[in-house]
Amino acid sequence: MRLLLLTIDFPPARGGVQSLLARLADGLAGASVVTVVTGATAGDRQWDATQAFRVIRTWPLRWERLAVAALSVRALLEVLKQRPHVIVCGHVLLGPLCRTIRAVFGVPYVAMAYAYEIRAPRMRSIAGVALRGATRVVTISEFSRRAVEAHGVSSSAITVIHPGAVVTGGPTPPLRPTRRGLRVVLSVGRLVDAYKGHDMVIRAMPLILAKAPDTEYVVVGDGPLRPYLERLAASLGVTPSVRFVGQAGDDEVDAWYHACDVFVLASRESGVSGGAEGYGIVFVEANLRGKPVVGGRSGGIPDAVIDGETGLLVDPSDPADIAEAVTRLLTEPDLAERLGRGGRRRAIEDLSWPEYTERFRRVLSEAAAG
Amino acid sequence: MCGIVGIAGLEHPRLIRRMADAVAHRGPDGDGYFVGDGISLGMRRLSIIDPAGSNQPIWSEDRRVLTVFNGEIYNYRTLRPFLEKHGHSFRTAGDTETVVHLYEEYGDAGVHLLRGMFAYAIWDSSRRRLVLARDRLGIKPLYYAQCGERLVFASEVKALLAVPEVSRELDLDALQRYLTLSYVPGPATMVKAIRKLPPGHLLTWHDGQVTLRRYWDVVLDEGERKLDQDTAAEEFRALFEESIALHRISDVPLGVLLSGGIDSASVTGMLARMPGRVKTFTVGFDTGVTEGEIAEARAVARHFGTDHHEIIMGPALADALPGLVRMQDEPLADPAAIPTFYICQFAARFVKVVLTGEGADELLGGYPRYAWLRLGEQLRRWPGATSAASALLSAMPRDVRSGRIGRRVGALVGRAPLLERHLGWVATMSDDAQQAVAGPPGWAAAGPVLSAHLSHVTGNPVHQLMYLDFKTWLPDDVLVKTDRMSMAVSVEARVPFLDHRLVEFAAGLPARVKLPSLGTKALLRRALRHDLPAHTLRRRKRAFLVPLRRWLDGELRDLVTDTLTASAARSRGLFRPAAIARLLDEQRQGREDHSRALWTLLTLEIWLANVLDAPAAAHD
Repeated sequence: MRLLLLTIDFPPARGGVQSLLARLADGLAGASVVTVVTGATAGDRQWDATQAFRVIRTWPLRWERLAVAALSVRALLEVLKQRPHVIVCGHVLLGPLCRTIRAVFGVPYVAMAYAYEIRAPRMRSIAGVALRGATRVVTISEFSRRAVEAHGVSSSAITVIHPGAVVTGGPTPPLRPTRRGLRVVLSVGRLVDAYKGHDMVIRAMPLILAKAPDTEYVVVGDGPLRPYLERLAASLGVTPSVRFVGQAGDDEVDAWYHACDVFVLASRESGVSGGAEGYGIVFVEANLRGKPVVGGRSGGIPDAVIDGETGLLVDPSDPADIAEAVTRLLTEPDLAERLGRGGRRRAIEDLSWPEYTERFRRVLSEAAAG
Repeated sequence: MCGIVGIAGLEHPRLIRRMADAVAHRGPDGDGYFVGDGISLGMRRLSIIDPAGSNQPIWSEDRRVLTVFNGEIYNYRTLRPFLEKHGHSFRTAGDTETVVHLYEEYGDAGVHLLRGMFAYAIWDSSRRRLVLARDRLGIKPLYYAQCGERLVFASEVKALLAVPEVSRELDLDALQRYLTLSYVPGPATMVKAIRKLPPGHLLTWHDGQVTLRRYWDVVLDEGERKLDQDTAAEEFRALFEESIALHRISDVPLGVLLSGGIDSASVTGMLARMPGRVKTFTVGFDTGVTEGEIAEARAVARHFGTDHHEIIMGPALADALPGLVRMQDEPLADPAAIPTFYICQFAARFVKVVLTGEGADELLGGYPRYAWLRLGEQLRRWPGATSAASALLSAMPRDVRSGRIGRRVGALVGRAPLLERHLGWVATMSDDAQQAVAGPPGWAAAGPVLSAHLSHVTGNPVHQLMYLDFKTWLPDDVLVKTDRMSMAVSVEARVPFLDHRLVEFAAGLPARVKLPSLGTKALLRRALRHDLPAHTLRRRKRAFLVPLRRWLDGELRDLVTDTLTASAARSRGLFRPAAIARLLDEQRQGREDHSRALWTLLTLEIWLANVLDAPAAAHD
């Protein structure tokens, strides 16, 4: 099967969507001929050279409109050259293009839907065009399925596939990257959107420290929210117990996952602006390392965190509730151990990457068969 | 709502009772004391929640922790089951007991779980330490003084002045700042030995050692950097509604102080959506200037179908003023305190609790100077613009220059730093005038205190000025006025705009979302655009309509002259008599309007004579 994947988010740029699509392309590349058309980004040449699939880079994605235009031209050329059996539309912004290709050349497309891009008011019309015109829609959680249905897509055309985490073959990083005896509460995520809830975890810190004094909140990731979060920590007098690590490479992130005692991401749903966690692959990544997780009861998180089995769900707008859950996991080793084990089992058995690829391949075949 | 007093390091039943008597107006419904264990604690109670139970002091189950508490905890109904789950058992139905159990569960950090207004003391007998806490924004007052190893504290200055060991020496720097600002910015007070516990701080006393620690501060920065105005308005409205719902909690009747402005109308409108008919109260003066205000309040009341009451005050201020200044506790030359007192006195006939719109101006940018000074900062990049504005200003007649338009142009002018232009807008008198009356340093006395707050925030002038107001004007003027004037008549005032969840959210919005242009409170207008009548939404910010000049030139004329030129005042040697005489002359001849300066001097002298010089309590 010849496959064309069109996306504006792709490694080596960082992010959940970026790595999801790369793993998908990699997983499908064995049995299919996969070509990815995407924008240029720093360090892409070295990255592309090591992949099992072909990557075509157009203009830098910073210039969103121009990049989409350049990408469209390039994608059309590839369609003419390759005549792919099916196209994967990696982002709804590329939906009108895919819809046109489908109408003119009869190539079916499978649209990927996450969360923000299909819920944001300013994306409303374009997301509707992309999703309704798709042969099939693949999304990441029940929350996102509802958002797709809200665009008028019939539920039979939608498939929810929970993304998993990659089991790294390498050994556990030996060093605990923090002071001995200090317990680590970890968040991993870019500091770009307030809905990720780093602020509420910081607000919970005084209460966590009251019961578990030797605790450090480690924030991995960087972005424009960092100065605010640093000020917030200072305003509550918890600066010494909140550590901003900044952006970290894969190995370093892996080391932090291993080093932490509790993983937390208290994402909330942000009103009409549409900000929300579509799923939260980071929970599964932490689970895979045997760590218990605390997640905000919002968006697609209940699909990624099974309350009482792989972690605890909390009210993300209430620092007291966050503190309570984190404190329990820090002070009740049996509970932490049980949830960590449950999480690891689920990450390996239910959410494995080959399973994801296989289910996706089935959707693609059905779409190609019309 | 109550008054609390205490002495750490001394058991003295008579003295603690005398301190409590000094704040008896704060709590006429009862009193309670604990003397022993090396400390003395006292309180006067105004019962709002659980009137029959909840008599203070309140002990923990094992009698190791004891508290006296002033304020309201609006989320106590949520905290109770939470604490019960952790094994605590409650003996009262009130909110105060949660403070004790939170301390047992979380230690000092328990304060983070409180949602409301409060000032409290906790005595931990097992660790022999005393903890004082004040709410995040300074809604409820708490003063303290150190006398050697002892610590005395109280809800009001008057109670501390009842302690013979507390020196009555004036803080002359604080006095200069008072002349500039018309209030004393914290943590200082007019009395050198007495300090305010700053908002959002904890103080601990252990073995005679005192440590002060901040537990919360407002963060004016772009935490919600991506929200557009509509989303921000929608989320703000939801949080505001939640705050109003929490602030309704009461076992006694409540009402709203309604001015006709958008803030109190917002409170009324939200409350009107909830069960029960809202009572509203408005005050005006018979001098005519407040007629528009009263009519607007009446229109809002009619719109929401409230049970509306209004009262018109006639002359009688000269007799009442000394008593009012005494009740203000700290010298506070904010003329808005006068109508606040009368409206609370009026409302007290009907209700025991009132909600007010205080805090909205600071939180949401209700002062035109924020946007004008921001524009001034932007104009500084173009030298031509500032010199043009400068020329315009000097071409204006004097009275225009000191008026509304002149202040706006002044905010835009020149190379003066932000602080100086801010003072140019808000100061009671000019730097020159202040130095003529009181000698140097004039405005410079306020410089270090205020600029520390300004430089706490970087980058955005609107946020810098808002932070300054959150740290000084709000807790040391607005909230002092609200607390003292309501407590003077034993009414509890609640300020739903200062719910800390609402404050945290609004503070984290970009300044361009809160104040996109030169207007005021754009976000509030947008958030409540479907809730408020159109005329209220369009209404512009007005200075509180207090007929100050009319008072000073009319019924208070003799009082001002007599008080400021009396031998008692002259013998203090604080001011130059010739400069005072010139102010009075110029005012009398109508050559200049010195109303604010004279009001500031008058208030101070009345305070000195009636509070500071009041006979020291006999030592027994």
